Amino acid sequence: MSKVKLSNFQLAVIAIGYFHGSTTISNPAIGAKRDAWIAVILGTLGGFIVITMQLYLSKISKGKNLLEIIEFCFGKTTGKILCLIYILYFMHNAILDTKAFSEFMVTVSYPETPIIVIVLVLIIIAVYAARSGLSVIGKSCEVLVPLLPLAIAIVTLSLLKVTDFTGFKPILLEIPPVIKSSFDLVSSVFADFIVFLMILPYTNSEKGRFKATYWATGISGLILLVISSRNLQIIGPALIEYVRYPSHIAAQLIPTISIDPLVDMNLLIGGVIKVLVSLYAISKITAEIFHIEYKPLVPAFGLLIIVLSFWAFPDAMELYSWEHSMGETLISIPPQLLLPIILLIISLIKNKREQNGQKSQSA
Amino acid sequence: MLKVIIGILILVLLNLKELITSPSKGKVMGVYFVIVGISLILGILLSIKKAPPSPYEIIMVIFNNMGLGDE
Repeated sequence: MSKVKLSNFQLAVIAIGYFHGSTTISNPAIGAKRDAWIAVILGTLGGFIVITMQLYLSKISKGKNLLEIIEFCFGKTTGKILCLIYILYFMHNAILDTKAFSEFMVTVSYPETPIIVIVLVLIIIAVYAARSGLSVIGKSCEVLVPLLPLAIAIVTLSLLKVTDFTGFKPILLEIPPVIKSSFDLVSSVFADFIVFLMILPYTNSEKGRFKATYWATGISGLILLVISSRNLQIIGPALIEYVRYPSHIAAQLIPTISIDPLVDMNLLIGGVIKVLVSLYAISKITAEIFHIEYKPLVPAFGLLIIVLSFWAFPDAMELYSWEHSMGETLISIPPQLLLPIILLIISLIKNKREQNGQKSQSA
Repeated sequence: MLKVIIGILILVLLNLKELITSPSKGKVMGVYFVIVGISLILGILLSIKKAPPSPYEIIMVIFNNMGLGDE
């Protein structure tokens, strides 16, 4: 195993940046309309449960990464085949984020720039960072991630004058959209923490992992709560359903000054972190399957993500309809929830057997 | 199509040194060129507008037929 060590603070900032991703521009909880804030709270609580399960899986695996855990549970051959599911899933995440990022930039900020230029810029940054290794990713996040809450605070405080707090009422008129939105939030934001099973073994303190990740989850939940409540009050529950990028519209409503580039900056930082962590995990798993260096594979996977993002979602509407379909939630359930639960159960059973074997040998 | 081929060729040339000096160059080059090859074929098909339907389209059709598609 590599000697790279991440501090718990670095783990927390990478996690915040990863959770942030593209959620600042298209909040998954917004489907609950005026009850979006309840969906965010429920989603964050659900996120804590899923993340605890994934952290516990990492803890009982004693320093193993995702590939090693799968191979430990299912054997070498089956394990490698199952790892393909995770490679495809992380690639799916990278494609979604690349496309969301580029479509937003082309629609809102750079309408005359060809989309391929924006995608190339994103992927070149992600490839460079992923090739440089975890310590560079950690240090970059230490500098960049604190800017995210700062930018959100500036936009929110600037909008306090134009906020109408009656938009929260009436509460819970419809319960099913709130439950669905909170599931969407868990699935598209917090349950993606599974990718961190490729990073957690490289943290320097096993004890602080839980604390750092819980802090990251709590801060991300709080950020989402602030964003969704602010957008709801500014745009209104009737209109918010029809707005593709509510945070950007909200920032444009600030009187006298134009600070909507702060929203773009948020997406730029969050989007790059999400794509680069996914890219790092894809390259690392593939390299470990074939017992080779991961660095030469990073540009190749970067290229594949570019091509696949154009193939998968030719335009913004395709992306929008996929994000709002049940397909997104349904294909995320096996890698996010089902496989980790199975891995956890098998790991617990195998660990117990090993302990019993050691006890009987010593007796 | 030419742009896609030139772009991918530049990428390969940039990585060539690292690929050749890699300790297990056979395996690395094998995996690398499979991934780049898939990208090249798909890129060419996209550029001539003859790409097959994307997996997302297929998944959407399947879920729609099962009644799980759109909200």
